[in-house]
Amino acid sequence: MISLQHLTKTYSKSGTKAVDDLSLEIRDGEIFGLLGPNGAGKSTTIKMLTGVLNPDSGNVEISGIDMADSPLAAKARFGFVADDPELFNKLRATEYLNFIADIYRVVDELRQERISSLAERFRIADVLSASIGSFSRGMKQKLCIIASLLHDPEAWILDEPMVGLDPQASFDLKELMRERAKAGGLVLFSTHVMEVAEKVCDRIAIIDKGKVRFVGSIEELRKKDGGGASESLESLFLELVDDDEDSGKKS
Amino acid sequence: MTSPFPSLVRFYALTAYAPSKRGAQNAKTVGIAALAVFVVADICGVYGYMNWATYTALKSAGMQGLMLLNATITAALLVFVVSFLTALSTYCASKADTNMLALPIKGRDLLGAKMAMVYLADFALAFLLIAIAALIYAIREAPPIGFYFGALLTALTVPLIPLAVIYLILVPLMIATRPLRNKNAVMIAGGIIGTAFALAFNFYIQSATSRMEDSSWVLANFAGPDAILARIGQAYPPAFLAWKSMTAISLLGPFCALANFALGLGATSLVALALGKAYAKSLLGFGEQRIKRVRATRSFMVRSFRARPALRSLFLRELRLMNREPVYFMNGPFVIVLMPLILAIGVIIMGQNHNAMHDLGPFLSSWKSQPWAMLASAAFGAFLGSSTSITCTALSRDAKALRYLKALPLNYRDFMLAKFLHGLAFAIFGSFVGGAGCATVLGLGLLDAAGAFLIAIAFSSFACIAGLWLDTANPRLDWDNPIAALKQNPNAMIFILGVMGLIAALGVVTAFIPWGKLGFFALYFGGFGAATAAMLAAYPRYAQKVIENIEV
Repeated sequence: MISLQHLTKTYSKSGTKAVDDLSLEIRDGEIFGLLGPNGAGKSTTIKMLTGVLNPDSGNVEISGIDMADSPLAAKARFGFVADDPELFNKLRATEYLNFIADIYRVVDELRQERISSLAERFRIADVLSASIGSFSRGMKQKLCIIASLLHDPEAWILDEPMVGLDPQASFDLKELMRERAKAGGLVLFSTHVMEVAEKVCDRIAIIDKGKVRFVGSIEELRKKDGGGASESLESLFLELVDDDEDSGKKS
Repeated sequence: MTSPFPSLVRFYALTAYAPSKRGAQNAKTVGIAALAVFVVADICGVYGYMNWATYTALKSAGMQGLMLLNATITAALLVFVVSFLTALSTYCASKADTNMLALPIKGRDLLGAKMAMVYLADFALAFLLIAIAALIYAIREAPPIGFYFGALLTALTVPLIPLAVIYLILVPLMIATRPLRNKNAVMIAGGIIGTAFALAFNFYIQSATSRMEDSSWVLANFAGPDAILARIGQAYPPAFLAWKSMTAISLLGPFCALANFALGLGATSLVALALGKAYAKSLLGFGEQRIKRVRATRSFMVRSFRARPALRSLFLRELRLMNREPVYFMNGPFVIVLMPLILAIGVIIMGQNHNAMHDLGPFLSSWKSQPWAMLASAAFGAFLGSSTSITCTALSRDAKALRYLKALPLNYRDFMLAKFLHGLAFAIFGSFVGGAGCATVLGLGLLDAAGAFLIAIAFSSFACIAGLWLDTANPRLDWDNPIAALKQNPNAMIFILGVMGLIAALGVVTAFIPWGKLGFFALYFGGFGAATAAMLAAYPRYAQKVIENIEV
C-alpha cells in the first residue's frame, strides 16, 4: 500500500506551491490513475512519492515504510518509470539493465530470467546488446519499463508511461498492469489520456492546483457529477476542473 | 524578410554556453565568483610575468616590440587549440542542430552562426592574452593612443583566421566520414586530426620563433629584425600585421589593423559562404546510428547479465558515460594525452637548438642533485592528473539523470564515491604520464621518479576530492547541451585555474625552503594525503544532505 499524508511542497527557487495538503491511499491489488491538467501537481506528487523531492510537510509510506526514515528500504519496494526515457544514451541496453539490477541487488538467475521474459514480451530481445542511443523513443520507453520490473516490486509507479509507445506495446503495457494488480501488486500511473485511465484504472484521483479534487472509481465520478453512464471521462474531467476554476474565481 | 543570422547566433550561444539565470543571490555565489576572480588574476599574473620577462630580454636588444608579436602568436596558437575542440564538440551537439534543417534557413547562415558562437569564447580568450601583453607594453613604453586601437583590433582579429581554418578542416572531414554513420568515431577522429594540426602549427611557429627571446642570439645572428620578421611573416602573416598594427607609427598602424581585421573577416565569411551548403548536408543524419541486433539466446543472457557490487556498477557507469561522449572525453581525459604532446614539441625544438641544450645540460645536472627536478616532475604529474575535469563536473554531468537516479534505492555515498574513484583512476594515469614522462626527460633515477609520481598522485587525489566538493556545492543543473555541463561549467574553469595557481604558488614557496628531497616528499605526499583523507571523510554526509535537497 502507498500512503500519502498531508503532503505540501513549495519550490524554493520559484516559490510556487505545487502541492497543497494532498492525501491519498493506494491499495494493493489496484490500478490507480493520477489525472490532472498541466501544472496540476501530478509530477511533483510522484517526485515526493518516489523520494526525488522532500516534502515541506506530510509523509510518504510505501508498504508501511516511511520514506523520510528509511529511504533506501522504501525505494526498494517500488519500480519507477520516469516520463523521460532519454537518460543513458551512451550505455548499451545490457549495461543499463545490469546497472539497475545491481542497484536493486537482483541475483544472476532472476535477472536473466526476468530480462529474457520481459524483453521478449516487449519485442526488444534482439537489440539488448545495442547502444540505447540507437533506439527509438518507444524502444527506450520499453527498456525503462523492463528495468523498473527487474526486482519484481510490490508497487509499480509510472509517469506518463504511454508516451511514445506503439499500439501493440501500449496494449502489452496495459495487460502487464492488469496482471500485476491481479497478482496483488499496486500500479500507480499518471496520464493525460483519459481513454487509458477509463479503460485501465480501478480508481483515479483528479488533481488540480496541487489539491485532490476527486478520488474514487469512474462510476463514482459519474454519480457525483450526475452524468449518465455513457458520459465520457474526458467531459467529466473537464467539468470537474472547470467547476473548480469557477469556484476558485468566485472565492 | 529579415536575416535569421542574429537569432541563430543568439540561439546557439544560449544553448552552448547556457548562461546561468541565477544572479548573485547568496554568499555561496559571491564566494565562488570571488574564487573565480582570484584564480583568473593568479593565471594572468603568471602570463603577465612571462611577458614581462620577454620584454626585458628583448629590450636590451632594442627589439621590445617583438614581445607583442610573440603574444599574438601565442594567442593565435592557444585560440586554435581551444577553438578546435569547441568547434568539434558543438558541430552537431544536439537534436536542435539537425532540427534546424527543417526550417527555411540557408546553410551559410547556419554555419556562419555556428562560427560566430564559437568566436565569442575565442574572443574572450584572445582578449585576455592580448590585453595582458598590451598592458605590460603600455606600462613600459607609454605608446601613443593608436596602440590601444591596434591592440583592441588585434584581440578581435586573432581568432578569425584560426576559426576559418578549423571549419575548413571540419566540414570536409564530416562530409567525408558520413558513410561511417558513427558520430563518436568521427568526433574522436576529428579530435585527433585537429590535435595533429595544432601540434604541426605549434611546431612550425616554435621553430620560427624559438630563439626570439634570446636578445644576444638575435643581435649576433641578425643585423636587424627583418630576417626574423620575414620568417614570421611567411609562417603566419596575420601575426605580422597584428604586430605592425600595434607598433607602426603614423597611418601604417591603423591601416595594418584594419587590413588584418578585413583579412580575418573575409576568410571566415568566405568559409561560411563556400561551405554553408556542405555544412547543412553534413548535418543530415549526423546522429544516426545502426541498431545492432543479436539473438538473445540463453548463453547470451548468461554472458551478458551478471551481478556485481553496486559500487563497481556505479563506477563502470561513470566511466562509460564520460568516455563515450566525445564532448566529455576530448575536454576531459584526452587532455592527459594532448598536453604532453604539446610540450613534447617544445622539447623536440629545444633538442634541435644545440645551444639551448648545451646551456641546459649543466643546469639540469645541478638540478638533479637538488630536489627541484623531482619536484618539477611531480608538479607536471600533479597538473596532468588534475586536468581532466572529471570530479569538478561530476554532479553537473548527471543533471538530466538525477531525477531518475534519486528514485532508485541508491546510496548517495556510493554514488559520489564512484565519481571520486573515476577521477582518481585518471588522476593516477595522468600522474604517471606526467610524473614519469617528465622524470624521463630530465633523466631522473628510479627513486626520484617514484617520489615524483607519488607526490603527483597525492596532489591529484586532493584535487579530485576538492573538485567533487566544488561541484556538489555548486552543480550546474540547467543545461541543454552537454558541453555546458563540462567545458562551459564555471566549476571546471575555477578548478583548473585553481590547480594551476596552487602549483605555481607551491613552486614559489618551495624555492624559499632549504629542505632535501625527503623533507619535500614528506611535506607534499603527507600533506596532500592527509588533506585528501580529511576531505574524503567529511564528504559523504555533506553530499547526502545536498543531493537529498536538490530540487529536480
